Amino acid sequence: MSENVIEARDIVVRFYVSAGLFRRKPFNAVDGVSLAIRKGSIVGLVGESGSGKTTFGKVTLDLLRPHKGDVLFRGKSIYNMTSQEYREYRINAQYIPQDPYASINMFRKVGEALLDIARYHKLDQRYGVDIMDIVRDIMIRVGLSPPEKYINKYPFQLSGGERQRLSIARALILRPAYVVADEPTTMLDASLKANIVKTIRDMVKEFGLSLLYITHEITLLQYFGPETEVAVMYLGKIVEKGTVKDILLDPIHPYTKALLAAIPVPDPKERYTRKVLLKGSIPSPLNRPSGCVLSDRCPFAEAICKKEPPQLKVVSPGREVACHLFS
Amino acid sequence: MREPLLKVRNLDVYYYNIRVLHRVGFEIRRGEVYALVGESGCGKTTTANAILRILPEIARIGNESSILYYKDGRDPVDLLKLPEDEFSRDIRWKEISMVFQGALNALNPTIKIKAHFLETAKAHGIRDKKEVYKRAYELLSAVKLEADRVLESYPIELSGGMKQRVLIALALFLNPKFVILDEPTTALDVLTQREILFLLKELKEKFDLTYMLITHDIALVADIADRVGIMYAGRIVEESSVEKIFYDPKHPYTIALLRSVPQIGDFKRLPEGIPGEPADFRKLPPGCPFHPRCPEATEICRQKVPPLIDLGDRKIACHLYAKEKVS
Ligand SMILES: Nc1ncnc2c1ncn2[C@@H]1O[C@H](COP(=O)(O)OP(=O)(O)O)[C@@H](O)[C@H]1O
Ligand SMILES: Nc1ncnc2c1ncn2[C@@H]1O[C@H](COP(=O)(O)OP(=O)(O)O)[C@@H](O)[C@H]1O
Ligand code: SF4
Ligand SMILES: [Mg+2]
Ligand SMILES: [Mg+2]
Repeated sequence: MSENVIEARDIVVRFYVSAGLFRRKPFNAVDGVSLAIRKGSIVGLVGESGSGKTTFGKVTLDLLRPHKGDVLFRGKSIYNMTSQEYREYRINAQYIPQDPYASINMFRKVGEALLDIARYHKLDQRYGVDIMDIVRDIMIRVGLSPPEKYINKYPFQLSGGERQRLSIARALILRPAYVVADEPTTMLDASLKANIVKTIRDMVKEFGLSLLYITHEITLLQYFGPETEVAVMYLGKIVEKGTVKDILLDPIHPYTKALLAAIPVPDPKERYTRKVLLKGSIPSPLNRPSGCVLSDRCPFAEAICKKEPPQLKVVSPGREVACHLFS
Repeated sequence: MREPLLKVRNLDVYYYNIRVLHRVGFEIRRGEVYALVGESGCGKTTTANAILRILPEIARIGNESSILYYKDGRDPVDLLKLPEDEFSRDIRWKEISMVFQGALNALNPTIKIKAHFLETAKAHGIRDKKEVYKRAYELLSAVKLEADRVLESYPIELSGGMKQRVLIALALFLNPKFVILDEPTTALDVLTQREILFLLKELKEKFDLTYMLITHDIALVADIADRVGIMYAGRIVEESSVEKIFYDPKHPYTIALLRSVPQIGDFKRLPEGIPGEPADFRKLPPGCPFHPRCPEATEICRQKVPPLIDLGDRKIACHLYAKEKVS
């Protein structure tokens, strides 16, 4: 059995955008992305919206078929599994979406919603315990505690943070081996984000899960520890890989630098010196530049950048960058 | 000191019989950026809606409330006393305009951007299409969009950042002097957030605007605000210059908000977030509404609501700073 719980190889996802009446133009929302997540480890995937993070995450959960590439679960291609193996994979690969409303049935009470899942997957037989104990246990773990206070509430009676906790409970009640958390705190206040990230982190550690944590808020990845792996994505490509510490304290790629420079700094003096590093804003799928994906916005772009896409290359141990300046 | 533009006094707002705003008072001076900051649900949008007089039917404003508006430096008018026809003819959108929270998804998906401008114009009796397009072109260029292309686009063809620019342009259509920006960057990722903030600063100079910036993200206001009001459970709890708020915060809630901003690269002191849940208006605790979450709370905090007092360099509502302490 492989050490990697999930391994995505050279994934390409192609979508079409309308380019005027009756004309549709293809573009690669994910363009040759490879990423492996070891057993019990966390990988952060960061980038601004439209970069292809959700699309990639969904491919690893088989919620979306790629145009090209392969996804291995515990070393075996998910596109080439027996139905028994595939069922095992599906139970073990779960999703925490950005918008809790997307996964939650508004007309089921908290307790009922969790009970539905537990019953459907016969968790009581699996673990040999009372089914309500399984529901209560997960509620306490995600911080919907005491369970009695929440069990009979409808999702709309919960606060934003509580609703996100419910959606974490939904995904984790199955004790999956692999979880994709897709911007679970984006819709929450700063004062609540930390608590949600810590809840996810603690459960991941406790259950030994493997987690793909998608976010545009790179600072939140610090809660997972300085050595956590991070991949920075832009327009369908991974432009830089490294540890959280590397990426935050010593960003190499011009895009990563821009992303960091954009983080709000709680210091009024900084307003006079801060700059916007990139030109313009993220192009629409119709106007993606040739060559390097950043070449139309990058302040350092040279002639070669507009012609040839740079490959992701190892620049130092554990550090990969796709930029002509560093190859 | 700059002359006043807007003075909100003793603003009380009730939804049905639930009191949401408690004696909210603040002053906004001509040409400044006043930021109203607090967690989701604390009453920021309610405050804005009261100023623009677009509260829902079920809302009621207290008898002792007033909102003085100093139009062209003349004697102030109480916006709450103005007859609706006068208010909608002279004030709403023409003097005071608003970029609505969450409006990105509220753009009508079935009509092109140019039709959005036509509708806005029509609502104000402007029917000359050529004139409307000319103004739309000017404004879309001012918000750094390719005006020709965007006018012919449907909302779905635009990114989040582009839609927010369109909404800003629409808010400026009738040349207002005072613009309320309700969470203008909340749904956007960090890079787009930065671009929008830069743009807002530029527009402010160009069109000589005054802003009220509403946000739950305190880090953001360091970049743009002149003065900051911190709101908790429908009350202003601290108000001062942006420098005082960031370099010398005094209210425990302000301090907690600032502490919840993660610092880049500081793995040892990751923010804890504010414990507990934001206040629920249906069951506010007695005494200071922040006391259940406040690390400094003492007996008096559980009994008496602290009044907002003037310390000279700031206004603050906290027993730690009350002049007469009850022993
Ligand atoms: N079903 C779809 N059809 C067409 N385009 C899509 C679809 N889903 C996503 N896209 C486009 O693919 C790109 C990547 O989207 P997404 O994966 O959601 O990015 P992210 O999660 O990083 O914001 C975007 O340009 C988006 O508009
Ligand atoms: N139309 C409404 N009817 C009843 N309650 C409302 C309505 N609008 C807002 N509220 C309540 O008023 C409080 C303040 O809301 P709001 O002003 O939107 O806060 P903020 O903008 O700070 O997030 C919240 O508790 C909210 O649930
Ligand atoms: S390859 Fe060129 S354009 Fe791309 S990021 Fe590097 S320097 Fe900039
Ligand atoms: Mg996404
Ligand atoms: Mg609001």
